[in-house]
Amino acid sequence: MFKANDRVVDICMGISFFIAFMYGAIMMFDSTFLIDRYDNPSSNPDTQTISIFMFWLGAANIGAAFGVIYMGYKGLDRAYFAYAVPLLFFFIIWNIAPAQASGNYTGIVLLSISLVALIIARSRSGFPSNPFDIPKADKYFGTDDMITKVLLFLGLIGQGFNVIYYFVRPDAIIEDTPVLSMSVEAQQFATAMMLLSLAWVISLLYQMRAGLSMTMISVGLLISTIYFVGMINYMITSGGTGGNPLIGISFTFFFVGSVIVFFRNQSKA
Amino acid sequence: MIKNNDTATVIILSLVAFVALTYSMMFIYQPNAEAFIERLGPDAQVQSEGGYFWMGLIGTIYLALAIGNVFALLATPQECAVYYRVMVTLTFFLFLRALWFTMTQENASANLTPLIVQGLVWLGTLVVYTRSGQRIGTNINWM
Repeated sequence: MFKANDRVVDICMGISFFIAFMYGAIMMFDSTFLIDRYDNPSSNPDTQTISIFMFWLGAANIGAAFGVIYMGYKGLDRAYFAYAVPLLFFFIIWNIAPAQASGNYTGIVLLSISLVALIIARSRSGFPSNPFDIPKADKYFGTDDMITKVLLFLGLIGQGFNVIYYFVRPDAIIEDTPVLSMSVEAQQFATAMMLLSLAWVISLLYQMRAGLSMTMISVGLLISTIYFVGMINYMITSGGTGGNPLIGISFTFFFVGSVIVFFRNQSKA
Repeated sequence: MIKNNDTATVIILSLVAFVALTYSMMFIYQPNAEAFIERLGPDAQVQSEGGYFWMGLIGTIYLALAIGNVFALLATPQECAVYYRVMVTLTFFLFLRALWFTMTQENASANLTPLIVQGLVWLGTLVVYTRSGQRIGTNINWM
């Protein structure tokens, strides 16, 4: 597996997959399991907001787990590590406050194990040990296809906008979305969404220099499809009220762009 | 990556996977399932907690079918022969069931969307199966 022919790499990637998939499944399908273990319902009775944020984070975890499966068939990909390693590092830092507040350090421990496993797998995969030693492709994103290039640039700009906008208005995603309610916990999750965008920015910058990665395009397609389908379901359920048009437009563009980029490039994978 | 070279098949399998994923989330999450039941019409509005539990189970099967369609995209048509046949059979039975329920509903203003969608999915799988060139007999070619 992973075209590495190394049992240690298999085990490390397996551990990382298991942790990502477990958190993804819990966050998407039974978020109250985690809420009960971290949150105090008497101080914050609004579990709906947290559940919506957890759905988004759960989809990102499922995407990360899918990336591991993809690499199991196609071989290890540096772009995935450029995405997953910073993301796990960010989320370990992000987890400190809720862990201290609740006394539950399980998340930090499991994310640390996953991070160490990824770093071990990467170190044994033959990639340059210096993460900033990135080979330069002939062209941006290593492709001649202008549509792919434009869409990936738009993705980079969009994710970069998310990060910058968070620092301008940290509460924007909550305040501008009627279905979400402001609380300390909700603001914590708004930060998580920014960190997710930041990891995508790093991965897209890597791909801009080294060439596009079908692993990350497939991961993006899976995540964007889940977001888009979730949005459609929410629109049907709510009758079109309570949503945030900006998030709706972002998810739609993310999905349509991912579909176009995937189908234009899948034959090369 | 996609091993199926027939564009129509790729489009149909992708669309069916998308619809299956949409339905899976619709059935798995209870608020979505409640909204779905509400829109089915007056005859379907009586639903207990147990009903939503079983809808969640059906949603899980839909999720597996969505993933199955993606697997089918990543394999050659020959490798997918049994899957295509199962899908044709399954969607045909589901269409017949939807047809029967629609025909026997007492309320004349019944929602026809499930019947139409089910019919389209059945036709889609038939097209996929036919275009894969693996029909054993010719007796049902007229379909």
